[in-house]
Parts: sequence; structure tokens; C-alpha cells
Amino acid sequence: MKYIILTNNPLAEDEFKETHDVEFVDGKLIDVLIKARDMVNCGAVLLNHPLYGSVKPNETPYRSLLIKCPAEPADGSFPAADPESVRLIGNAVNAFRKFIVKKEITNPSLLEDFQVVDLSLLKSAVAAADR
Amino acid sequence: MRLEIGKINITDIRFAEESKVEGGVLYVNAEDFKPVVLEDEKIKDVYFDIAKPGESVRITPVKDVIEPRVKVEGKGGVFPGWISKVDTVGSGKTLALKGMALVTAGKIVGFQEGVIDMTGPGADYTPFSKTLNLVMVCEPVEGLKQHDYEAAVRKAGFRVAAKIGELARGIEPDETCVYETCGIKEGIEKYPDLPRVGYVSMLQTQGLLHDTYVYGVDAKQIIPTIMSPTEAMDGAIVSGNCVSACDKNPTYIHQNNPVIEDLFAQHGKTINFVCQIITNENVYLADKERSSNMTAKLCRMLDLDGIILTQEGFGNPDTDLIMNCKKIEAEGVKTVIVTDEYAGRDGKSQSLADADVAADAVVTGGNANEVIILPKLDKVIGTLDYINKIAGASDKTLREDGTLEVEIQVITAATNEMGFGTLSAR
Amino acid sequence: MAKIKVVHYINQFFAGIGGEEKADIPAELHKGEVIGPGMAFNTGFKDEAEIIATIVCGDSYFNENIEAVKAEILGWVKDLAPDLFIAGPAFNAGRYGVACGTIAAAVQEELGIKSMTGMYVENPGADMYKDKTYILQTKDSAAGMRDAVKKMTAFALKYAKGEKIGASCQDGYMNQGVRVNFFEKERGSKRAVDMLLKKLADEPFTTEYPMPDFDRVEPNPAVKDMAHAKIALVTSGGIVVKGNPDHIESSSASRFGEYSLEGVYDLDENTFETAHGGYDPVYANQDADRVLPVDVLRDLEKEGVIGKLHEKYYATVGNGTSVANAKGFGAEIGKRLVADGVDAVILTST
Repeated sequence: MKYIILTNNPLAEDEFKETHDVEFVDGKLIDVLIKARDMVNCGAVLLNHPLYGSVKPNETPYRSLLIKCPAEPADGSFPAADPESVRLIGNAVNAFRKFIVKKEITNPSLLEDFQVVDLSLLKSAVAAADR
Repeated sequence: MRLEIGKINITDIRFAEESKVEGGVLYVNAEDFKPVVLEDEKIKDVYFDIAKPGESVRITPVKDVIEPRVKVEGKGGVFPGWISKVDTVGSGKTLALKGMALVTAGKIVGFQEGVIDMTGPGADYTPFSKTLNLVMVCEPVEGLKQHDYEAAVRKAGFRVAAKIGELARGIEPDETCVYETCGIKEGIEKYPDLPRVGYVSMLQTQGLLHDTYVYGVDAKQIIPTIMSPTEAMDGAIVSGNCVSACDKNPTYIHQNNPVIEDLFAQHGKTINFVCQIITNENVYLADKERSSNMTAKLCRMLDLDGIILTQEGFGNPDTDLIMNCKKIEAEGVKTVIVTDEYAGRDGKSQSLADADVAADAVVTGGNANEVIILPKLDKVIGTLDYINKIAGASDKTLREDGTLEVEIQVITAATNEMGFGTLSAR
Repeated sequence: MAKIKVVHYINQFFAGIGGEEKADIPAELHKGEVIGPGMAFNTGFKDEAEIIATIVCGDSYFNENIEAVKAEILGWVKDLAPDLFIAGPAFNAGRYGVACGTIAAAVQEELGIKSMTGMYVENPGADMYKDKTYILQTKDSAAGMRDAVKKMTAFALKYAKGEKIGASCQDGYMNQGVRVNFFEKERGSKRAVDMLLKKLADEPFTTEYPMPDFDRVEPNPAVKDMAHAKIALVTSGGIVVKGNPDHIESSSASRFGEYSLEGVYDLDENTFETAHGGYDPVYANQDADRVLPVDVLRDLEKEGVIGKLHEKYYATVGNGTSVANAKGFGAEIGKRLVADGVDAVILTST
């Protein structure tokens, strides 16, 4: 299946740039969500859930998403948006906004921890997508 | 399957020359347990400490909480897949040390979390302020990868808990409880008029620091399956989940699953408690669809009339929760959900990341974003070095006077989503 | 300790003046008087609190002169400086309930004085004001007065004394849409089992977290021929003709407005503004096209991308507006758009 990895996690980019289509977002977690939302609004389909199970969106600075890009309809019109993806990404943006965003994390070891966790969750999604 | 749990009430824990259980007291010689921990070369050092209810003690960062148990009759042993072989457990007789817990602590990743206060307002929120706690604080060797270290501490906890459990072998329990479920046909014949009820437990399975294991298998790789509710009591389900202290399910709560206990209390009286169904909470959306389809199918095939559905975590699992609820209800199986809420510090935000009208019967463990001031306590077991970083804290958490301003999500099991506590919200 | 000072608001009926025929009497201040249900409150307060004044107003008068009457009453209450303001109880009397909610909310918000009222859950005032003041749940008629007074006095004393107010189910007020934690008697699993037993037996049960019921609307099929379609603009972002001629409220809107776009090619700060109180209005006031994109649609009209921009637009304020009101606006606006032969609508929020 053809999909792209949308991420702002440098570790995820390193891990997958040779083998997968990685679109690196040089920005914050919310920028990844908004970018994904724009894509979803234009017909892309989310393959993994945009929220994590326990690390709240205001805790981690990283997010990696698997996104299936739509086939362009032959008549040149916009592809229809996938309602489930629209709902999930909308809920995720709302969930992000309700948490108080803490001071930006600068501690390198903490950043690395978050990168590792994000990568681990991404890997489990990639494994599922590639099997 | 029929399982007897023999309860040995522990009334005190003391350090002593000889490790033993005698007269309701657990005596611990830490030197007996250190080698059990250090046999894994990934752990550099460990120390043990004791925290008792009412003491001015704070334990943090907490990884897991485990109840020491030992299997004295029947197939298998405790923590199958880890300590014992993978024989099916859940029958025979198991002894449990009640009133105490083994708490594993130490830094795993910077944002790993969990606070247990033994006194003060924080103590009201955690069930583990009421247990005598033997705390095991681990330190990794330099340069160890986060997931290796998580696994090392997780497994060390089971080894130590099993060794403490062994101390109880041969001791006459203070009380014995019997839990028995029937086969499908037997149940229908025995309780023809009682509604058939199941328990669907969603296990956190998203990846590093978010995992749960069943008989040693990473549950993200399972498809939903049925279990005897007694299997969990022998440690068939264990926690590898480090994050969000308030609503992660520590191994202790899997062993003492409150939904299982309270359904057993009604078994044969008002309901026929048929089985536990376990399912996962994966990151991949197609996995979520598949698992919830399977869960609903199992409920239908087992001819269940009703189920209780519990989740673990917030956000992503809310989607699994709602998928499960919708599909199970659509099979005509009446469903009650247990969850907690993230309604924001002011309580005004949408509590869950997903919702559906089919979820018309919800029990809540409270709003995890509620802010609480924890007083300075005399002693810290573990370290406060990470307190500003854990989920539910901020850079303002540790205040000048030594008090902590935190959301209750930092407190271990504060808003437990298996209904272990009495906290709720309206 | 000094007695807690209470000011009490009631309508003409409960003041013993008369029914509907007297509903137009203006507001009156009765200093030092205790009237009607106030007597029962005073008895219930024992020696802990007392009513120092009663304000009486006809329901029609209140609702027809809302701003003036509110200002007048607020002036009185400010001078009296009570510890607590109690309105009603209104039971299921609609206009009385709205009056009680309006004035109790205003006293709290504008004077910072604690306020409360009581009414039946289906009173329209309940939905409008339950998040702005404490509304104690009463029965639907004055036959429930004893019960209402008992609940309201207990709550009043607790509240005025500054004791911690528990969750809505504990203290008998209507849920304010704010989640409040508290410890239940039974643990969660036991509550879940009990709830399941009731659900299995088809007995009534109360969920602890009512799911938000999103009214999902299936999108209509795409407009095939945009070049000949008549497109309308509708917004909940509060863009109104300068001066807000319809007085659309800055929050909890009770109405929407219909405005002409005939000859309008670009919204500017001299002719349009926002009535919305839920966001920083500066940018919307500078150039209301930012919320209601008339300029862009005129361009598209000129370019032939769309057939025509509908000559009227509709606006309300989505800030805390109740779902019931929003549904009503939607239905009515829809009807008018259909009647005008509009093919598609662009909805803009804030």
C-alpha cells in the first residue's frame, strides 16, 4: 500500500527515509496535526490514530502519522474526504487544544525519550501497514 | 474453572536478618532480593525501602505495583510466560499476601511518572496509600536503551514478587475465597434464568511504555480472545505500561481486577458470569477495526446478554472504546463502560476524544485534569528530579515552599479505568 | 457570627399581587420586607441568615424591559450589598424562570455577589442559565414549594458560608456543564455492575457521563454545476450590519439576523462589524470579509466560477448558544434559503 509518513520527529525521519516516503514537518506537534488535517480534507486517509494512548498531546513534542494519499479522480475534481479520518483528526486537534501546553522542552535527553517513544509507536503502525 | 485464593493478611513489613512471613509480618532481608534483581546485567543497582500508610512518605516515579502471590495447587505458576511456564493458570489454589504491595520505582524515561503519597490529600486518591509498600528502586547501567530498561525493571519486579510470594508457601491463609466459572453448556443448565454476562477488558498495547502482556505475549499481537476470569488472578496479564499514572492499570489491579471481583459477587445470584474477553488498543486503525469486530463477534457467539467494558488510557483508546461499545451494542448485548475523563483543569472540555450515543451507560473514574496541591512530605523514596516533567505536572509543579501543584493524573491509579477507586465526577 | 444577608427576588404572583393580569407591574423594592416564599426561607434559615429585602417584578414587565429592569435591580442589589441573592423558585413558569435566571446570573456576573435560583428542569430558564448561576432542581409546580425551600435553604447556607460545593448530584443543583470530581460510596466496578444489572432488567439507570450527542449531518451530494449555482453565506461568527440592529447577543444568542448584500462587494469597517463576544473582534471589525467572505465570492461571481451570490446573508453568534436555539435558527434559515432558490450554502464559523 502506498502511504507517506508525516512526522516532525527527526529520529523517525532517519529511520524511514531510505525505505519509505517521509514528509518531514519542521515544526511542532500541532503543525503535524494541522498538515494532516489539510491532507485529510483533500481526501487523504489516516492509517494510524492521531492521538497516543497515554502520552498526552501537550506532553510530547512529536507525532508521526501514516497517511494514504488519495487517487486523483480522473475528471479533475476533488476526491471525497474520508469521513472517519475527518472525525479522528478533528477530535485530535480538539484534544490537543484542550490541554495546557507546557513550556517547550529543551532538555536533550527528555527530547530523545520522546523521540524514541514516538518512533516505537510509529514502528508498530508501519509494521501493520507493511504486512 | 475453580480457583481458591487464600488470603494472608500482612500487618507489617520489617527489614530483618531472615526473609520470612510470620505472624502476619513480612520480614525482608534486602540482600536476599538484590541478586534476584541484579541477575539482569542491565540493572546497575537496586535498593529497597518500606513505606507504610500514614507515614510522611512520597514514592516517585512509580513504574508498577505488584501483589506477591504463590501458586500452591493446580496447574502452572504465577506470572506465566515470565516466571513460570505457559501452563494455563486460574485453577487450583493460590496464596496472596494481602494488605501489601511491591512497588517498582526509578527513572525509566524522563516523563515516566507516578506518585504515591502515604499521607495527606494525595493519599486519598491512590489505593496504594492503604497498602504496606515494599519499594524497589532500580538504576540502569549507563547507555541502556529505554525499552531495554523498561523490560528489565518490569521483569525484575515479577521475579522479586514471585520470590516474596514463595515465602508464603505453606502458611495457613486467614481467609479463602473461591471463584468458579462454568463451561458454556454447564452454565446454561445451571443458571437457565440468569442473564449471561461477560467482561471485555481493553489492554493498552501501543508500543514502548504502552504495552500489556498476556502469558508473556505482547498483546498488540493478539486478536481478541476469551479467558477464564481467574487466569488474571494468577498473573496471566501483566503491565508493561509506564505512562499516565492515574489510568494505567498496574499489575496489582490486573491481579485484583475489581470488575472481575464484583461480577463474581453476583455470579449465580443475579447473573451468570461467563468469561473475560481481552482485546487490545493498537495504533493502527485497521487493527482497531479488526479487534472491535472480533470482540463484538465473540460477545454474540457466547450469547452474552450484557458486558462491562473497561479501557486503559486516554485519546487513542477512546476510539477503541467507542468502536467496541457501538459494535457490541449493535449485537444486542447491553454494555456498560468504565472510563475516566480529561475534561481540562476547569472541567469544561469534552471528556473523551470520541463519543457515541450507543455509550449510554458510563461509569467514570473522575477528571484526571483536576488540580491538587500536594504538601511537602518528610521523605521521598525514589527521586523528585523528574517531578516537573511527568504527565500532569508542569515547570511550575515544584513550588518554592516544597509543595507540588499537579493534576491528579500524576497519582498512581487515581482515576483507574477498571473501577478500582471510588473517585467519580458529574 | 453576623447573620448572612439575603436579597430575594419574586414575581407578582408569588408576591400575592395577582396573576397574568398583573404581570406588567414594574419592579418594586421592599426593604426590610419578607414576602411569600421568603417567609418559608426565613424560617428555614433559622438564625443563620435573613432576608433583608424583597424585589418584586411582573414577569411580562421583566421580559419586555429586560435591560432597563436589570439595571434598576442591579442598582438596588449593589446598595443592599447582600451576601447572597436568591431568585424564585420558579417551578415550571417559563417567563418567571427566565427572569430568575437572568437576574441571578447578572447579580453574580456584574456585582460578584453569590446568587442562586430554583426551577423545574424543563423550564426554559434552566437551559439558558444553568451554567451561569446555581439552579436548584424543583418540582414542576408550586405544590413542590416545601421541598424546593428545603433544598434551597440548605444549599443557600452552605454556599453563603463559603463551604465547598460538591458535584451537582450531591448538592442538588443542575449540572453546569463543568465536570466536578468527588468520591462515591461504592467503587467504580461495583457501580458498573449495578448499572449493568439495571440495564439488563430494563430498569432506569443514570449514566455518570452523558455522551455529547453530536448531531451528524450527512453531507449533500456535491454541486455539479457551480457556474450556475446560487450560493448563500451563513455565519455563526456574528457579522452584522454596523450597530447590530437586531441586538444579537454577544453570547447565548436567542436570535439570528437577515441582512442584505445587494450592491455590497466588500465588507468594510464602516458598514459591518461582529456582535460575537467569544473572540478578539479587532480583525473581524477591521474587515468583516475575514469571517464572512463576501469579497472573495464577488470575485468568483465575476469570474463565473459561481453563478450568483445570494443577495441576503444570515448571521448569529455561536458563542455558548444553546443547541436548541441553534437548531431552531438552522431550520428557519434553511426554509428561507430554499424559498429563495439557493443551491448551496457556505457556513463560516469563527
